[in-house]
Amino acid sequence: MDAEAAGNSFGETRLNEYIPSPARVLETRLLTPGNRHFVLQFKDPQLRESFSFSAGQFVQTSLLGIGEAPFAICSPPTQKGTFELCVRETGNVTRALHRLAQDDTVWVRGPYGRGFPLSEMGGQNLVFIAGGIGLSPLRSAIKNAVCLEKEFGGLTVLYGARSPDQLLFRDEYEEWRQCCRLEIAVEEATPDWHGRTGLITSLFDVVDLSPIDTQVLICGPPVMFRFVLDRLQEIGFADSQIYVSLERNMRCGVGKCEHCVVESFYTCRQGPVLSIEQIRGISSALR
Amino acid sequence: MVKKAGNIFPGSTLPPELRRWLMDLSSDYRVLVPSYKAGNRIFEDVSPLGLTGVDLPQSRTVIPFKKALLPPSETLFSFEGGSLLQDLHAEDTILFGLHVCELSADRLLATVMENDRPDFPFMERRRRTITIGVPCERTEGCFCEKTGHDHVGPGDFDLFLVPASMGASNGDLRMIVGTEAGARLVAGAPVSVLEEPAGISAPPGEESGNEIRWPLAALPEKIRQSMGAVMWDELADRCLGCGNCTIVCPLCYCFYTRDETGLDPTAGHRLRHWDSCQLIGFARVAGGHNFREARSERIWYRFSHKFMRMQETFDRAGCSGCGACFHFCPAAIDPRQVIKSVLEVTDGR
Repeated sequence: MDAEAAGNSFGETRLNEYIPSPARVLETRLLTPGNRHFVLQFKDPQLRESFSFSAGQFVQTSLLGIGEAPFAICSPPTQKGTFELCVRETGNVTRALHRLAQDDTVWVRGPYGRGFPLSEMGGQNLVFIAGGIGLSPLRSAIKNAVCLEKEFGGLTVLYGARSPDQLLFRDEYEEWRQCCRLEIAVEEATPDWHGRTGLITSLFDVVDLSPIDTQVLICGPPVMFRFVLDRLQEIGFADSQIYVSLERNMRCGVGKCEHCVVESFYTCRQGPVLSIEQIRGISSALR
Repeated sequence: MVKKAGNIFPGSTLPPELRRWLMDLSSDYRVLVPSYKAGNRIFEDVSPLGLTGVDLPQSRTVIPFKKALLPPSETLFSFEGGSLLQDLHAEDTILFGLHVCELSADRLLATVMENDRPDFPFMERRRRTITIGVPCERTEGCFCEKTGHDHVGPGDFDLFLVPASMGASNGDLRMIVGTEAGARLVAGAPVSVLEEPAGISAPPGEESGNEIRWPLAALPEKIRQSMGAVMWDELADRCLGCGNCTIVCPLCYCFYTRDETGLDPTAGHRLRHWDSCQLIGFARVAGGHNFREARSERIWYRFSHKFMRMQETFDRAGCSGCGACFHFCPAAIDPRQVIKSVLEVTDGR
């Protein structure tokens, strides 16, 4: 039928980006009140093999009949065959995801966007600064760096959460500490909390960061960025040494629906990870 | 005064032989033709049985041609019992009666949708669509000469009815062939073919002179500099935030998706609908944070998309100059005034 129209200026488009693929929930558990962890595996063995991503990229994940939402992958790219998400319960889709059990099906498309350029950071010291659920995409990068430990200099993780019961991936800290310096601050301590209390910026007084041969990777709520960036700039970090992962309303993932635009870039295409150098002068990027 | 370029269709009616041809084509194609319905000019589906009042050269349609390529609502896929079914609704389509600015907008819209990661549903429809341009006589409040959408080359249309400015006279139906698809279609048409492929320019507008076109290449920087200027607050005081301007714009294409089910929650569709960057929730994320809460920011955002981002990415303004946004705006916000203000507030910068 379409032979008639063929011959105008447009050829065939091969891939329908909006069609997701089914993935099985291999494991799921509540990490903290409101935050659920999923280990997922594509049902299609071929896709399972070919699926690759970089730390900081995201997938669109949906439940049929409920809807779709973007989530950063929180497992490292070195983990093959499965991938993981950490989902905070905030809306319709996440509420429904929280009700899932092992062997249930979710629908996934992606990966989308640009992640942290870890492959260009060989030999450098890495500082990860995470606030709240912002640890999720950074966990992918942290675990990636830990796996490839010898390729980097020192690894430092600064992590801030509202309260001790909101700390994500607590059972992994010991392992991370084998090759990372991990410092944690909570805003509201509980009687059983023996760690530091304060904002994430208070951790800058604990660690002695130097901008020499060091790259910083940040993810957290918009309010955190300004304070953290001020401290980093005081220490002497250049804009080109600092990478942030931005949150926006990413609906299509392919730079078409326009929801995630920040002035002149698509968060879903040029981001979500951008260097401060890339967003210099774009005042709306970091608020 | 609008300068009349001469109407090759007296009384704005379609010559009977063309009408018959389109009706015949409608058994094999979806054929859309501008016509009047309940007092509004719309692109109407032609049925083999007939076609109501066709008004070719004059005035703008309420909803632009984009509805044939990016429907106001469409099914991305259906699902039932845990399996997913792709059922893209795309059919061979003829868009008849596009003006130069619309053909130019169509080309840019397709470029946007094809760019980077192509939009499959749009491109499937576009691939199956044949465009037939007609001469325009300008519409009150249109300004394609300002935005650079006042000319199309032969590849920008499949067929084009030869305008009076190229020697066509009453009853003289000739078409310019732009593509292979156009050549095949015109073989069965009651028209003769203009042998030389040619580009078409819109007739001149109300103003004349060399300063008519906006400084499109300089606008991105000026739009950027104007961010936060009082002019956007003043516009926000007038704007109702209704989103009409984006609905009627041939070059607005943003969308949102949602799932729809019936009583059985496992069976339904994933739909996408036109959205509007002028609505307050457009940049809101889960949890409630809104990255563009202020109306002034949303208005700036719309103009920056059209005159900054699209200009920088595609070297074309994202405004065809059709004037529909102004014509259908309840607050009569005129993009010509907006750009004038941008140029004034950034004067000398």
